Amino acid sequence: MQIKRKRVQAVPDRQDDILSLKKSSQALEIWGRLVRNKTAMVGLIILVVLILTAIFADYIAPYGYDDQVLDDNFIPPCAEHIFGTDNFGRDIFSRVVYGSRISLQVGLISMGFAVIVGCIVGSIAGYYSGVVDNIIMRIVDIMLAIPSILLAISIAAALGPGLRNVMIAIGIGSVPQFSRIVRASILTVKEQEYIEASRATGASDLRIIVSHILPNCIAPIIVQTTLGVGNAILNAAGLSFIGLGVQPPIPEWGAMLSAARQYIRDYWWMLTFPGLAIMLTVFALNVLGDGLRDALDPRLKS
Amino acid sequence: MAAPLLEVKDLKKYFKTPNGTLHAVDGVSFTIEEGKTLGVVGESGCGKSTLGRTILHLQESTGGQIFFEGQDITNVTAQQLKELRKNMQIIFQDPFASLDPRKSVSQIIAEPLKIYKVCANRREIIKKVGELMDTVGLATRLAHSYPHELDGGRRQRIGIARALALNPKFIVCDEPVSALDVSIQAQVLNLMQDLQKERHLTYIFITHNLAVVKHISDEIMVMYLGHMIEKAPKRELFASPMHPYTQALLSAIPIPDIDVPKKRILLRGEITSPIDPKPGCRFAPRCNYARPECFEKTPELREMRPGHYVACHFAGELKEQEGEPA
Amino acid sequence: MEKLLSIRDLTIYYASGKRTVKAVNGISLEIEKGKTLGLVGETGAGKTTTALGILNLIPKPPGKIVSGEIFFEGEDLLKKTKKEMRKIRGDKISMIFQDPMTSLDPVVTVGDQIAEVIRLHQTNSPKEAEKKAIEMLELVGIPGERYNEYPHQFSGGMKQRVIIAIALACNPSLLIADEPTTALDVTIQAQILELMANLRREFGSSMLLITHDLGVVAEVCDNVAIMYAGQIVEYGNLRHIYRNASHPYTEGLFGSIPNLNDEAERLKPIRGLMPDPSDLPPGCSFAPRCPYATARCHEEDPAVCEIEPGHLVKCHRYEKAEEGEHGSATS
Repeated sequence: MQIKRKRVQAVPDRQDDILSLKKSSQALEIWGRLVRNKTAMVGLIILVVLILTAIFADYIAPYGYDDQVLDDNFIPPCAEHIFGTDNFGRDIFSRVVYGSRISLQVGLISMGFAVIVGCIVGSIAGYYSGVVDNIIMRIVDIMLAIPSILLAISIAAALGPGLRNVMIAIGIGSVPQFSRIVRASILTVKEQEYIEASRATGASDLRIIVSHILPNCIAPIIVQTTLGVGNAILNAAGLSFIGLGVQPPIPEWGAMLSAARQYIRDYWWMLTFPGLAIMLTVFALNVLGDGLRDALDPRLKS
Repeated sequence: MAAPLLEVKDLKKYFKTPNGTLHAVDGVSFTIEEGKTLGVVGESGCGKSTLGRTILHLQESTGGQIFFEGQDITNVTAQQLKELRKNMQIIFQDPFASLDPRKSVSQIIAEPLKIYKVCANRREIIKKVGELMDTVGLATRLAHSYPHELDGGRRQRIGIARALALNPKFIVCDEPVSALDVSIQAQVLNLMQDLQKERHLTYIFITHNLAVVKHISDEIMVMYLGHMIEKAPKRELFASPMHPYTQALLSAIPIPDIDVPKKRILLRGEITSPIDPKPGCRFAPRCNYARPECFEKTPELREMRPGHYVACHFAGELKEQEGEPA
Repeated sequence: MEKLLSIRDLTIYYASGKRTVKAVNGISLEIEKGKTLGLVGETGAGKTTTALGILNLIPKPPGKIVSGEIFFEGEDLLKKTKKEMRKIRGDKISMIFQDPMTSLDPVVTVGDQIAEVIRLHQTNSPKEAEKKAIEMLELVGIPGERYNEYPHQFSGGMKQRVIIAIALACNPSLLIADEPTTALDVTIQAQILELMANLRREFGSSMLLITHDLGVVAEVCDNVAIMYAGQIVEYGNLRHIYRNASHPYTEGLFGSIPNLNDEAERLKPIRGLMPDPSDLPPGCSFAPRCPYATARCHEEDPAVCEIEPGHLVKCHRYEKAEEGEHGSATS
């Protein structure tokens, strides 16, 4: 023991320096790896721009989202209406800008909800297996058997229309997929020896799940989330369409898409611009998600 | 004589499989004194790893008793188990699989310290981690590396540092050097021996490598299909193995030397799995000396010489036949 | 003695990003007809790359055979076309892989896997191939009735027997065995080694045995090549290596193995680690770990010296002796 103490005292300061950087350096390291990934940065920038657009919509949009000028309907994109106008003569650019508020909220919050609930449910099922797993997964199977849009419709119908209820409905509708994915990855990860090693050091189940298992199944969760956001926006549109979602005239990308469907042959811009907005969001999230997945994995660090 | 640190009595661990009950560990008893090393050898599937894990409560035993420092620890509450783990640790075989790939070296070593809140603050944890890395011969500049960046030997040192973090008295070493290259293996073996001396550790050293087990153990126990078939001080075991399986096992080791006279005993067949075993010696189907009664009656463990236990009906009589070619 | 295989100055690199991994650096070796050469070294020494190089199975890219010649039965394998190589592989040269668990196709019966090789190289008649395959199975100690069973129904040792049967099915003149018994238990290893020895005697094949186990080498091989960081550092027959190990690395290897016969309290491991093959030290690649290293070792790559007839060592310590008289440099 004495020998050891002496050794330690010989280099105490350097050691402290090296080791104390731990927490912050790790976050920095992940950030550093993310920054180096150019596509991920493009995604991040697009996302930030979209969010800023949503926040400052009042200042960016040249017109109000429901300013109808019936004489000016179906104007193709021009200097005055860069995205053109719709069947009511509303400025599509302004509606896309305002729509970002609703669509981003629906997409991000409902997916956030689904991820959290899905992780909890999936972790419990995967980690404890046996009876608990069976009960949870059978319920999940039943939910999966119902098309998610149908599930969302029934939930939204029960809760009543409104933005908040749409998010809850879509969130719940996506929980089954997440639970399945989380459970499957947990089943493989929990058999790894490092989980047993952690148990041997006396770690509690919660600690094992949160600090060892979930970080190691982050990849499929991220991929599912980024794909899920696009779906959520479209599902919200579906709900709006049948009157359970956000009520017109409040603009929402998905709703704009479905409203534009009947004009698709003659007035392409009505469909194109909200569609592009959704595509851009999903693209940004996808590349950001991929980048994040790689940045979080220390094995990929070069 | 010192009281044994660990005593295992008639320990059993059965697994239910679709084909029947697998008797992975079936009635194993032994004691280890403090500061000693018990080597456990046997082929894959003989239950040696299960034995180690059952003692540590990583798997719950089916029957039998375990005593640690005189206390019965066979059935413990979660709280007691947590306390117990401070004193009983494990080093795993695969230094890659047993380290969380997403945690840095310092995080891995610090985990037990955080779980047991042995350190008052972060500063102390940092100091302790540095100390542990120093003890196992890891440069502190590696504190922020990740396991995949390090070679097998260094990774195994991390595993050792983690096991030592809580200052345990007893460590189960489950094939700790099997995955390493010989030159690195020697470094790790030396480290483990030094640590044992320095900290007065007690080891159960599980391996299939007989040369390694002879090097590091005081006593050696040979397992076959869940049974302990022979146990003796190491010199005794290597000089005069009594069980036909031990004899075959020892003769099968390729010796890295030439001009050594070799009389290899070749065994028939392969190890099976002990699912719903019938009474009788489990080695009998492969044994060159098996007689009808071997298939009927399970041999008892008998003390043939002081400290030398054998489970074979004909243990004493086989000595004369040893030279006979199989 | 007739040379079956002779490799001269073989160098194989892998491109890995911007770096070049120097896996094999100018090795030369020979295998005589009917003899066994043991290629010994640790993980990353370039043993498997050498074997794959002989079979021309280096994945290109990223692998690249930079230079060298591989003469097999008098012809340079590196000048062969892909089609010609395919004919040689499995027929004249065959390989046994380390892991019996993964080197068999799980959805094809073991019998068909043996018959496949025979059909590829020897006969077109499925009947005949099946007959030969059953013969092979029985030859390696598996009853012919198990022809229609799948790999998962076999134990590890049995699978390795099947792999040996596949390898020997076409009566190859060279067998490359890459750690054939590493994944097996000792008693099974003993069985397999015995089987391989018997079969080789019967078939008269030569063998290149790749292993890290000096015990297996002592039992099976005639000659030994010790590999370190892509180079052969010592080469000789069993007596040269086991009685007069001369390269410091070979000495270190022997010092690292716990010996069953004499009891050392401590092992004498080689200090340090294998160098990164993409960043080999200048001079002798073992110098950073060598207890005898001098300034010269760190600067200048040692030449190969023949310290006694047939015993080659690549180390500066023996170069002086070379100039003087042969064989005087016994350590």
